[in-house]
Amino acid sequence: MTQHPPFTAAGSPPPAPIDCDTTVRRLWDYLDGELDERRMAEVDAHLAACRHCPRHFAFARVFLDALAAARREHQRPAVLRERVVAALRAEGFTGAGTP
Amino acid sequence: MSSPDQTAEHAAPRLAPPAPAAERDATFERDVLACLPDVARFARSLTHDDANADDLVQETMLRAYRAYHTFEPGSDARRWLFTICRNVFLRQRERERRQADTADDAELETLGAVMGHVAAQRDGTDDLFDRLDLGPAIERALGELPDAFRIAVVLVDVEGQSYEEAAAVAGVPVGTVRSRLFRGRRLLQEKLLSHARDAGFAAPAGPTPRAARPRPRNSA
Repeated sequence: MTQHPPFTAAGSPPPAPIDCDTTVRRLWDYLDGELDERRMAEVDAHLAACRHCPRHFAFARVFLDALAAARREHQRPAVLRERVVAALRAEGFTGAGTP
Repeated sequence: MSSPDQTAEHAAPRLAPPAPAAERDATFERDVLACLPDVARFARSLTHDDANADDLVQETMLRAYRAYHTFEPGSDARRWLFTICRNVFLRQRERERRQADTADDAELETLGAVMGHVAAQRDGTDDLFDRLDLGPAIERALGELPDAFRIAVVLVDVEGQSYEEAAAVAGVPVGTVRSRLFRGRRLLQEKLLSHARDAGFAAPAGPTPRAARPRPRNSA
């Protein structure tokens, strides 16, 4: 029976230890899910063991959540749609134009 | 980098034979016009002005309609519209593009953001994002970013696109979108923290760290 190291998929080597500097350089890529599996695991392993870095990651996470929450819908979508459909009709558009 | 004049409507290959007008208009309505709320939101975040945003939406839809024969059926209409919208907007704002075309080292921008957090921890503003409704402040701060940074931040952080999707919309390499995104985030954090300090906002030091995990993309 093979003993699997923590934080990795079966069969892959354990993540190489990385320092705080390397970890925080990867902060945005990590939170955006843009790191490859190996680098992701290295960051996970460091965060599980470090007293300092998780605070930076948590701060950045809350910042990104606030940005995502700033998404604002158009105030009067039906009015805008009517206006756009009228402009399209002037170009020959024959659709019904209703949602 | 693609030429600023290269538009999505001209870049897409023509794949399908011309459809009869009525059929074409019906699919346009179903696939393209249905994205109007997405385009309106994107236009609003570009212009920060409702009247200009509505003009931009209308111009985007007109261009999309005129170029609909170049749209590949089944491909991502939202991304196509965002690309047209961004091109129309930038053509109107050509001069502001120049200052943001330098792509600084993305990791240095990340370190800059972390240093901003360290400073915020020092003066007790680091739980600002938990404690205040930042909607209006974020909107104002986004409006102050140079266009290229704002487009990257809005596409990835507000619209939930991947770096690759955002790069396709912005018409730049993925690495460029990544540096612009990271720079834009750092500038935004600086603006928000500075706003908090100016407002006399400070909290007791030592907030409890919370787990931070990669986030899922917004589904739009």
